Amino acid sequence: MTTSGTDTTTDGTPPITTAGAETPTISCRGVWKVFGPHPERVVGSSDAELPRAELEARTGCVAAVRDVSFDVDAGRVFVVMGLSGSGKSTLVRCLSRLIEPTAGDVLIDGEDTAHCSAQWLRDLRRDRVSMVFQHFGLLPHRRVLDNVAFGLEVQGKSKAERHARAGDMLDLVGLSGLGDSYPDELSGGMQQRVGLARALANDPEILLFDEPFSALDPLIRRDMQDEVARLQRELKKTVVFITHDLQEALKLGDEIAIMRDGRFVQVGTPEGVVAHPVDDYVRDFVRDVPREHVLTAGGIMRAPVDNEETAGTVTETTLVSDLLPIVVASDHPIAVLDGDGRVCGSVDRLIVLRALAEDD
Amino acid sequence: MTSPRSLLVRLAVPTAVIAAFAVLLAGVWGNPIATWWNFRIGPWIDSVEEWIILHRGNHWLFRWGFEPIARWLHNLVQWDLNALHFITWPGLITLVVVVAARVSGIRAALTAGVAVFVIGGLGVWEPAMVTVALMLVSVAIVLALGLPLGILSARRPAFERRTRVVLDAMQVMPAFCYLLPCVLLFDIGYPPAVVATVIFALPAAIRLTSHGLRGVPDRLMEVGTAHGATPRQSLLKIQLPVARPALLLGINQTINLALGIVVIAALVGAEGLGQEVLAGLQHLDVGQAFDAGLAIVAVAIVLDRLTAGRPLRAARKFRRDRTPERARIELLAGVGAVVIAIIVGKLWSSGAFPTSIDFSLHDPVNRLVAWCRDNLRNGVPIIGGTGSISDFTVIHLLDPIRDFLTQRTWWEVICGVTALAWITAGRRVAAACAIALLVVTGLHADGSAGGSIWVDTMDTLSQVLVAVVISMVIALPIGIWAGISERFYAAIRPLLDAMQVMPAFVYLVPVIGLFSVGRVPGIIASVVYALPPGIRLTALGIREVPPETIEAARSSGATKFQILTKVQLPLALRSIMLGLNQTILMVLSVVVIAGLVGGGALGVDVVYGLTKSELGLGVEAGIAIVALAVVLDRMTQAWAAGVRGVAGSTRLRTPPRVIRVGKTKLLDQLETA
Repeated sequence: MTTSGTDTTTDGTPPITTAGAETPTISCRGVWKVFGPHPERVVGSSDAELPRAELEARTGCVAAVRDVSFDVDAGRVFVVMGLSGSGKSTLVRCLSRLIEPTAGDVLIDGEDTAHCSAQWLRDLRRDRVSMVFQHFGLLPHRRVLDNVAFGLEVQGKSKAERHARAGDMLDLVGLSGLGDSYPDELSGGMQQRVGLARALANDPEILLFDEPFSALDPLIRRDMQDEVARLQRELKKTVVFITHDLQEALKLGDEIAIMRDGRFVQVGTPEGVVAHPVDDYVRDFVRDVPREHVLTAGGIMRAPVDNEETAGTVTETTLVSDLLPIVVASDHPIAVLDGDGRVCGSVDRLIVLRALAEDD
Repeated sequence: MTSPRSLLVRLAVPTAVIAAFAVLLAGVWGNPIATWWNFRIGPWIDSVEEWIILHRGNHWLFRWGFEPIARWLHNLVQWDLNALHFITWPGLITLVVVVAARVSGIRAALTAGVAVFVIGGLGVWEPAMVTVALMLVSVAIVLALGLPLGILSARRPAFERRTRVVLDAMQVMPAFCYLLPCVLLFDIGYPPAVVATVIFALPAAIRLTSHGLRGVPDRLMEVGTAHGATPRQSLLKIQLPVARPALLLGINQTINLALGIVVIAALVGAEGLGQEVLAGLQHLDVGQAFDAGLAIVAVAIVLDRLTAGRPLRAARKFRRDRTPERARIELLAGVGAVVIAIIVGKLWSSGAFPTSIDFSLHDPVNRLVAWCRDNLRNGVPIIGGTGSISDFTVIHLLDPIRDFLTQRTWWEVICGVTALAWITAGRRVAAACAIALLVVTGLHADGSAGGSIWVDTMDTLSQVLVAVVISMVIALPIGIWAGISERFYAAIRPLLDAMQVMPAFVYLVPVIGLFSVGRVPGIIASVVYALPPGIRLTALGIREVPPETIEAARSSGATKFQILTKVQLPLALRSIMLGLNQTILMVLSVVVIAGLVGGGALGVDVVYGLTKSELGLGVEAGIAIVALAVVLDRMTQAWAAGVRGVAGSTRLRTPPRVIRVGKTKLLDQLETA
């Protein structure tokens, strides 16, 4: 999905990929997950619109995921953000069918995962999809090296081969030489690096992160976010990242979905979400975000005025924080150039101030 | 719930129902014993027994069923025994040391080696080898059946549900009850001993396995699924290895349980250490029984060290330091040492343990017993001596309670117990109690002392109650102290461990020395046997109170005493109730053994039935014991469940008796882990 700046609320199915584009790596179509007796009766019924408590009182069911649709293109990072209980962990498990969705389709590389054999699913999880868990999910009885090699072992790779690969992965995440340790001998941040190395070991095309850093201290969390950002630049995986931390979402996501009570409330770029929250719920979330670090010149500019006198140029992707000293130093508007170097708009002091002050 | 009105309703409804029931029963059947109501279980068993004796030689069921099994079991034990003889005593000591060193480390290996040597020095080498051979066969069978069934039960909740009742019954039933049928089917000797041991230890093996496997967190199992592991891979690579400490603990407990029963198997003609203890008791030769008892403890220590494994950190160091070359050298050295030891043993007096090495405590113990008899039984200032304590207990505790219970008519007792259960534990428990006691009224074999089963049941009940009360009176202060003082707890833990490992038989020995025979020694033996779980669960309950809670109390200015009475004890109450429950089950499980030393009543009925071939009586008395167990167990479990407390970890899905001797130890080890 190539939304840039435009916001899509999920009142209905969003348009399937733009014509001519390649198949998205992950595609969810109207996915539901309802826990409880006779979950299929709730899907799409009027009961599904009820608030959580009422639904549970009436049907004994809890709708964790309600009619969620989205696409993730190859190499993109899709972040699902929501508070605890919003259904985001359930959603990510539906992608590799660790949890069986009640309704809807999940397509991986255009292949429907619904009616495939157990073996096909196992192969999918062995070769193409890896997961990083909230509580690391390290096996306490195995050395770090054998933890990293676990996925390869499950695939039936030889000991020499998997240990070599696991060693490389440990180097990659900066844990060289700790292969002989046991997980409980490492700090939390190091443990999650092991989890990351394990997920990367089978060289999957898709990485699923289930709140991977929420159990870590703030400083370590920032380190780990940088680490993931670095690895993503190098490895270009397709990523679905679950978090309850908006900063983390803004930092890592190419695209962000805000989830509440099992639904996507808003889907968009980090800038789009911060600049144009669709409702009070999202507005509440983004209120404390330092806008100058998220908004870009391209996002706030006005249409170019012919024959305007401009004092300089910036690109579309220039952050407002970098734009500020420039507009402060100039009485004239600044021209904004698009990727091809053509003028596509302009900004001046007033526009920047409005964008920063905006609290709509 | 606790408004005065609802309390009134809660009391009034059961009282009315039971009163009506009582009036009805009293009016229609005013007999002291319900003669109209007879299951004829005894006569039926007797006729089965007759049929079996008549057809044992020629019926296909024995020819092709039980006899081959019996022969197979006998051969297995005999083969083990031959093997033990073949490797001679130096060989055995070396083998034990080598294996224990590999499994549990050097220190454990030395302890085990010394323990084997002590067995020889006590002069009971031959019987000890029989006991070991019986153990090896029984434990192998238990594990071969228990581990797969435990895995099945962990993976299939439906299977677990369906087998729960059977396993419960197997655990509550006194071992003697199935020794009887075992003898009938397999004749006397090794086979019934092995079968009875398997029946006794199997439920614990299954439950500990299943409990250990289910203790593996879902999030770790999910890791397997997420990596595309097959169910088999998940089991082998995640569930079993993660559960390994719990499984090893389970095996360890299973061995302890099996050892306890193998000794009892002396009663069905299996030789071994149990036979020595029994003979000592029968001839009142306390020294002989004491030697054999010590040897049993030594065997228990050896088996424990062979299976305990290394502590976590040592195990990791061991694994890290272990290169393939080193492993090969160790293996060669171990095998070499054993072979050399065997050759030395063969050359040296044909392998029998030398009689010159002798640290038997036979004579000193007997002298001590004689001294006690002469000096402690009477005439000690103030307390008056053991004889007077015994008399006092009988006259002022046992007799009044027994007389009270036996003089009530059967329906008075049933209504009273049911009312108590209803008010304190609810409708369902009350129904279970009523049914259990009604079953007892349907048993009509003549007790060994001429009374009826009902009267004997009341007699046993009075003894059990007194034993439980004494146990708790002793266990509570000790447990509280152990809960508060880390030091004291560390000091008594080895003692508690030893008390739990020792077969109940062994306790009878010093008790008889001090108190002669009668109901009181039986009660004292049960008290000693039942103390550890009471102490442990009390201490655990207090220790499990979160430190923040105590800190909060202290910061409000509470004194130590206030913290104890207002915070720790109320929060530990649930754990203490579980301790009460365990204490009762322990006391019940030694009723039969208490019967051996003059406890009389149901215990003696069972023994009498076993030794005098009155199976009908034995089985009916066994059923009565189970009924008592159901009543007391259900009621105390319901009490424990109704209490709010910190014993969250003790609130296992499975009922507390699950692991019986085992669980308290299990908790204890988990807590220190």
